[in-house]
Amino acid sequence: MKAFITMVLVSSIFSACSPTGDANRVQELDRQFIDAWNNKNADKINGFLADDVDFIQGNVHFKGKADVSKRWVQETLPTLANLKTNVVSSTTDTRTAYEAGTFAVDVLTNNPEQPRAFGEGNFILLWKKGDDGNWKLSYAQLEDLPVQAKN
Amino acid sequence: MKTIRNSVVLIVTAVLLGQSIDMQAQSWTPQTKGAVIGAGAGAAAGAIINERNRKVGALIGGVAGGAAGYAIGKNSTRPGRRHWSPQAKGTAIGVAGGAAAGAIINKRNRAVGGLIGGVAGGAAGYAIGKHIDNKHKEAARVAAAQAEAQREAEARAAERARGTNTDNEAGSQPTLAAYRSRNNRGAEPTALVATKPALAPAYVTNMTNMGYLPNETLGDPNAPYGMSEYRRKSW
Repeated sequence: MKAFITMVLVSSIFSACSPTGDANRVQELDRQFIDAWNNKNADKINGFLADDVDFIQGNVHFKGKADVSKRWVQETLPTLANLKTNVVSSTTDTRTAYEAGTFAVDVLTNNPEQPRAFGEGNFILLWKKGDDGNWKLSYAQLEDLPVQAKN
Repeated sequence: MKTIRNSVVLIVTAVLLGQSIDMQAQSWTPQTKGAVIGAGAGAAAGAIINERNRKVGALIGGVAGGAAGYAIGKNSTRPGRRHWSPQAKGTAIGVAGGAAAGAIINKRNRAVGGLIGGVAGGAAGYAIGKHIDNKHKEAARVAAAQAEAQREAEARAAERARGTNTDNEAGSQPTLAAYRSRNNRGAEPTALVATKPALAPAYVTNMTNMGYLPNETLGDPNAPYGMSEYRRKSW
């Protein structure tokens, strides 16, 4: 019995430090982040943002939680639905984690005369572990391709 | 020999004067233009004709030519007057100038010289007039296209303001086919209006026909992809 408990403890410790566990961490962070976008949950999205978060998209660079929340999250949230990501590259260590790849999303326009549309692009989400042990989104970069009208 | 030299001087003077007038003509009234051309041509002709005292000849010719040019220019501004086409004007000037030059040059047979000069001058004048006419027509076409695009934009804005769009019933967005059908007005000069900062309907139609949405933040440097003509922002 004693040997069994020791074996369980040792394997638990090793599994907690394994790369598989790290990979799951960033996957879980991104899954929750994307779900928050699809659920139109601005508070949850903002909760993931670091205070000094950087957001870069095309010609703009928004810096700081308030700016990014106002000019990216609040302005974009009403215009999208069904956001999906396809991860091409990912890694995690004790302090940082990132996922990068492509995304696809339905675009909802404010102009009722415009047809339904969808967008695609490339993304990278970089997470950093804070001193309090919480992971926050430190850097996000999106490169969107032209939005295409749906037939 | 002296006559030939004088003729060359006359022609060169007329050409230089004509080019100068053409550059200035945009801001001159027809009266001013006519007076200047008449004065220049009259002075040159007077100086050539009056071999004994060229200064007096130039002075008299200039005054007489200027007065005649002013009268012709004023007459051309009369309301209801039928204007000559650029081709006709160029041909007439070419024939007159060519005939005069030909008659002066060919001292042995002024009639033949005048005939040959008139034909050559008329052909050259017609070619110049045709070129000017083409430029006028192109400018008119561009202006008409811009005016049409502006009218379309205003009509579309007024329609939106009245809320008469019936395609958006039940809050659903129209399909691409319906959008194209409603906005496609035929052969509009889309390349021309696409340079306008405002989203003219022809530009919007063109973007949509290519399968892209127009960028509603076009021209806003603070918006993502604010310089892109089609919409890129999706996430």
